[in-house]
Amino acid sequence: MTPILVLGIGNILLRDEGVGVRVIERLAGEPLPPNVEVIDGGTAGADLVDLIANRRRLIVVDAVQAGAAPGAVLRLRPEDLIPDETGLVSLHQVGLLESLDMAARLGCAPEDVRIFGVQPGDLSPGLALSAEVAAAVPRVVALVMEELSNLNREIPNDASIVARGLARTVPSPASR
Amino acid sequence: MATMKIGPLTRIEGHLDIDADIDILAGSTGGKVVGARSSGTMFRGFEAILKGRDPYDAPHLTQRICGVCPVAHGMASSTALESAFKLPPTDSGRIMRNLILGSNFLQSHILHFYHLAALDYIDTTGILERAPWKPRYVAPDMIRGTTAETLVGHYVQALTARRQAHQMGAIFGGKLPTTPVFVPGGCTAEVTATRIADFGALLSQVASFINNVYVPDVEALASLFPEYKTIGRGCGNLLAYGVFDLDVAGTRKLLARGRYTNGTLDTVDPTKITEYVKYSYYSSGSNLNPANGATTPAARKTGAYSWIKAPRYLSKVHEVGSLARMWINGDYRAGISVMDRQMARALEAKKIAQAMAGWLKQLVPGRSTWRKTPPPVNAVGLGLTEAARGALGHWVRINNSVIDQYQIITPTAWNASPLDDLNQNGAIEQALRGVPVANTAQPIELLRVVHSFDPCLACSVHAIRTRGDEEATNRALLRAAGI
Repeated sequence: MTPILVLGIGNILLRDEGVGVRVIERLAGEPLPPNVEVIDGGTAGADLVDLIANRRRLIVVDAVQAGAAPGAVLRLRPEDLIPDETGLVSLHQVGLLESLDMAARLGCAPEDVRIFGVQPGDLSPGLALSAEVAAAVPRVVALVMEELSNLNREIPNDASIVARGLARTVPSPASR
Repeated sequence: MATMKIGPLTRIEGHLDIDADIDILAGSTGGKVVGARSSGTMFRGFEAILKGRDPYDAPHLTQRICGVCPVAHGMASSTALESAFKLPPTDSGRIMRNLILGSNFLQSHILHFYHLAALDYIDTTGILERAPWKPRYVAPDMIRGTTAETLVGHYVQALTARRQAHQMGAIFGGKLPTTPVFVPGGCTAEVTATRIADFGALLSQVASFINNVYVPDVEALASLFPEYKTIGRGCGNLLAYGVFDLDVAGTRKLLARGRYTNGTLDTVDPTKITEYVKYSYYSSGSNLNPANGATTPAARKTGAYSWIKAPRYLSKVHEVGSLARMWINGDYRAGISVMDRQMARALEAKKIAQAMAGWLKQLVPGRSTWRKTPPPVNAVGLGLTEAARGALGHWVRINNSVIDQYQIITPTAWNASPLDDLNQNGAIEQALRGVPVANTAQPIELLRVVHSFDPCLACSVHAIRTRGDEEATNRALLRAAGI
């Protein structure tokens, strides 16, 4: 397990909802430092805990409802997001914030979390991104790469500093 | 007697609204539910995405439908393709798929109880006040004091057990969620002695949590809330497709296929399953079997109130889930109620964990785990399995070696369906009818009924949201622009 994780989340079956996953697909083709792992978290709920546990730094890429123009890119921290206070009805409501909270209770929360959000436009069923959000993908990739080069100076390239985890990174055949 | 509308009782944004009409007792704050409506509030058009694609894409794309039970979609899809390809899985593939799906059941059942259901019965004021665990309703009958503290303490243990179950799935599943190893013909993971040992070590810890903490906690809850052994019965009919094949032909299963209709156990003929749409937002035909199903959205349809269709077996409403499986298999027949659903779920976790230890011993390192065949030119396939929360079916038709049609019936379509063309309410709607509510301002009783079904909806729009303040959004935009 690497100390730095870039995690893309979202549902690729609902076009712009999957922008986080689309960014990860691009990042996987970039030259990444060895202390960085990129993972397509898909529609994961509580499974996110296992991906983020014991990371020194976590960079999340996700669609974000911010009332901005479609394709707008936002740089956020977890405290900028709205927790779900409506009462849980389904395990579907377990998302990023709840997973961060679970990780904190288990004592394995990432030390530092940064979020790149992209305002979606089209959330209809389908695999292709809208033109506005597709245009944002290379911008987010560049922002993440820049963030990684800064972090890489702070975080030693030594995987042994974190507990051994069982999560593995295998590219999914659907990632195309 | 006055009628009051409570609703939406449960609001999952973009997912499910449930509201109820309550007859208020004169001079009281409470009453009884006289009617309830369950509405899926979002169109799920995922099946259309599969049309024209390579059949081998189906297990990967359908797993993306749901973040809670992706493994079950992978299983249903692989099974549907195997039936179309006339290609049974390898024995090693069958066992590994059972182990991966079993791990998913265990983590789902544990999380469901400690993260959702138990909190309906515990007043966490002063113990767990942070959202989203802040109690939504506080009722006089709730558990307080040291018992509450003990149960909340078990919550953290449950999170650990859930993680271990997830890690078990990842040992053979590779990447989770959305495992790439589910394919028609078996499972692409390799069996190694290390993997068997790692899996076994985690399984014994999870099994110990289930046997020593989870099952006793549910038993304690059931004894403290005896009235919930009669509340929330619903339609009384149960349906299970069955799961965890014990041979490659799928004839023997750990949890059998069957149904319990009008008090009689019977077999399941998949051609008797149809979906009604009179009250659903679809203009396509009603009462169609999914093999010839159609899903044409009609958002402004008069009289419709849900995006969920109404699946029925021989026109009858059936409940699906752990209780249905355990009942049909003869493992649990104490009753049909809110508490019976919780109890059956816990005992099912125990049964599955025990069986998994046996399956692990059957794996032989080095044996071939899958076989590949080109897709047939024309074929139809059916994949019936179970997600943690109930019966899941995939129907596929292949023309010119690509997917021509794909239809899915999810467990929550059975449980949270609206009225059908015969004006029969869905399973949750029926289970809510007659439920006494002590205080309509705090209708915790209704939430307990809904939670007992472990509803799970299409993982639809789950985009994170900012706090919405324009100034903060502008600052975040500027930060991203490097200004």
